[in-house]
Amino acid sequence: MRIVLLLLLLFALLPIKLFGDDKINHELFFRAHEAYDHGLYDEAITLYPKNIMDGQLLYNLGNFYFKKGEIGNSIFYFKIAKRLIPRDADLNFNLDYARKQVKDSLEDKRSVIHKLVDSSLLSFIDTIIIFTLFSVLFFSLSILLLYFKNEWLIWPRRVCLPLFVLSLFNVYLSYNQQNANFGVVLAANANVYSGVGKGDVVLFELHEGTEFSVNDKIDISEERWYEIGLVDGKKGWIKSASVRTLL
Amino acid sequence: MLRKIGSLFFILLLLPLISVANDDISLTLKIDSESVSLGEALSLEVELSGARDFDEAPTIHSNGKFELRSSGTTSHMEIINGDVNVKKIFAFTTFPKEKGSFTIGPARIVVGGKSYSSNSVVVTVSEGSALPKQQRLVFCEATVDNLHPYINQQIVYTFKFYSRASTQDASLNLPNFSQFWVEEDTSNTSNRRGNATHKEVVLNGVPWNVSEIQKVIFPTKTGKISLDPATLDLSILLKREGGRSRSLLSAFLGEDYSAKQMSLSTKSFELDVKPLPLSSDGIETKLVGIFVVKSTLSKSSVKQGESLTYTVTIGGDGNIRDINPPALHLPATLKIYEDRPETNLNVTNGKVSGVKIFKYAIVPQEMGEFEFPQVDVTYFNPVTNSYETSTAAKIKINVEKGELSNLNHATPEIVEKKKDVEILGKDLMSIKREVYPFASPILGKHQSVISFSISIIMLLIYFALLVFKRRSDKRSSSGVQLRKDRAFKVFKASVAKIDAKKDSFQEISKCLRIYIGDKLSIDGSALSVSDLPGKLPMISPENFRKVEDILKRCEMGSYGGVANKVTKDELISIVKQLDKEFE
Repeated sequence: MRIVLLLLLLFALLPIKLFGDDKINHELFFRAHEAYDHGLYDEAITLYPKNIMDGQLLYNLGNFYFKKGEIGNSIFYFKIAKRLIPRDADLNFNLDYARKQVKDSLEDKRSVIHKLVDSSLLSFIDTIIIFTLFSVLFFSLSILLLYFKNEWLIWPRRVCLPLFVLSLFNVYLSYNQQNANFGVVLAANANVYSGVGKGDVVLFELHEGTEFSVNDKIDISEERWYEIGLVDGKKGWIKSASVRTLL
Repeated sequence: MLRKIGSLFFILLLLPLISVANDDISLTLKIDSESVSLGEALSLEVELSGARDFDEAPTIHSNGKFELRSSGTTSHMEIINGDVNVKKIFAFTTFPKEKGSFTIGPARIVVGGKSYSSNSVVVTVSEGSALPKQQRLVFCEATVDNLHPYINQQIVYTFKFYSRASTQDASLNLPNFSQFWVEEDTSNTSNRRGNATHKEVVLNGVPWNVSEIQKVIFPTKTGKISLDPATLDLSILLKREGGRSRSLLSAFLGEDYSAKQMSLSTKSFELDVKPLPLSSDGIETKLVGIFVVKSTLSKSSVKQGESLTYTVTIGGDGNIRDINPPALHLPATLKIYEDRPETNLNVTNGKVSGVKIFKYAIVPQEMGEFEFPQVDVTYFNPVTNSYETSTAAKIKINVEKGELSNLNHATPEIVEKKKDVEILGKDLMSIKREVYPFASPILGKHQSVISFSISIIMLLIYFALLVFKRRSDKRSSSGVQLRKDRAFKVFKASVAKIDAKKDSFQEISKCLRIYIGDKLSIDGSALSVSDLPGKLPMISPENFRKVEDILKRCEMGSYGGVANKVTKDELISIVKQLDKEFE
């Protein structure tokens, strides 16, 4: 029992060390916003750090690129931001707005689960927190039931069990979605080929801002090619020069 | 059995190939009764025997005295001693159009290019029912409360269906009221289901279930207007004669009853709609009934630029919907904003009553005393056959001096129609400028790790406690095991109580014997040195000798003999070795 208490104490103290405040250069942000206000979008983009995975920061970057007229980059950053702050109303509005500027219209033929996960209002961290809450609740009830056989504990535990399993499944789906590689077309026009060989033909043409999933990649003659899939089921190979991908 | 099924299947396969010689074809016309009354229906059947296919459907000659409605076709086949007989029956429901004695038939049909005729039947049609009402199972009737109404005067059309049998599949066709304005009775009474009210009445000592539908109708044109009969097609359920229910199941499924299809109709009406008489004052109005008008102001005094509501309410019995807005002759210094009129109708017991409310928002632009003129509503009263006028008295209002700034921005109490917000441009939502709660990437990573760790720790704690609990339960359930497990603990506690300064041979001996007794689940206090060889076969010879030695020394010491003292350490040492061996 003493060991258990010690472990609990250790984990209670752990966040204090890990959640320490990181130093952020607020002045840079202030200058970037000032540049944005003056219409100097290139400068705003340059000043903004690109390696910080923060939803609001990525949202602002998406805005900068949109104002600059780069719909592809704008959608790219909005999509990453959506993985972190999926319930942000401004972000959802801007992403929809940016998508409306895209020339290509695609019919979403993906499975219902894919669509649900894609439009989920929970981030990966949210799903983990929910899972943790249910697991703590479930195991706490289970532990209490070891010592107190009480009807008031049995039923909540029975209710908790499916929720616990579902929340774990949700974590799995969210993890897959979080780690799914995607890309956006940056070039005004980009050809999609049937393969990477010289004899392969152009299957279709995509335009700036069209989103796709990345299934595979291959480097040929110092040029990278991505095998992409569209939501309407079309597939093909596209040159890396005309797109931007997450990984 | 298999052979029988095979034969049957073979016959069924051959059926389409069976052809019947045209020579056997005959056509028969049958009716269920030779007398019928107006408003009742006859069942008529045309039976084609000897053929399944025909070139043209049968035609029945009825001289226009009957209306024939098809009610389906059935086919029959009989195989008697190898002779195949096929029948096709065309069923009709027949409605007489006038009274008298008429011939129906012959029916004609063309089969294989050849025409066949049936017999004819004579039917007597009487004015009233062949049966008096109290002997019938169902009947219906329709009434109109006024056959000579004025144009726009409300009259009541009532349809009543009387029944004292179970009915099903009822289909009612009311007359077409295309030349009337119709108001449905919307009163919410407990006996109303759908648009019909249901009640029980007794006619000449016979109880009837009566379903009644009432419509208030307003003729919209003058002259002769006819109202067609209402027709009601239904099936009545009649108990099969002869015999009891075959089974509870057949009774449950209603197989003890047969359905008889019937068609009932009411009489038709011809209305003579009169125009409204000319008024001596030359007044023209569309209102027929009794109406009352009243007008009100929301405030008796108001400041310049403020708004008030002027309400004119016209209500009564009659064609409420035809009430036109009153003509308002107000000074130009009163700005008027007209609201949409509101109509509240109530149709109860064949009478339409209600109100029509006209509201105006008035904004006085100048100060002073103003007068809202009287409002007159003229209507034709069909009871007195004269034009009458209801008047709302004039209303005065005092407008006081108000703030000039209000004049141009006065907001009427009744807001004008709202307009959609005009979209002038489209853009993204703004960037986020608030204090940045940015987190380092390591934070997110550890957040998930910590969360998962908590879950795993909870899982481990649970399993650890589960294992502990099970072992604990197991021990509790076995007293022997518990005694064994606690033997050393008990021994240590007993030894601790021994006073080392005294010669305590007895206590030391007792401690050792009780320890051995606990380990072997025997009464240790009764153990003697001579018992040891049989009780401790599992102990190594060396330790056995040591135990024996200690016990012998204690025995000798206890009874006054010369013996070496046994120390507590010596005792604990040997018991520890024994404990290892017992484990």
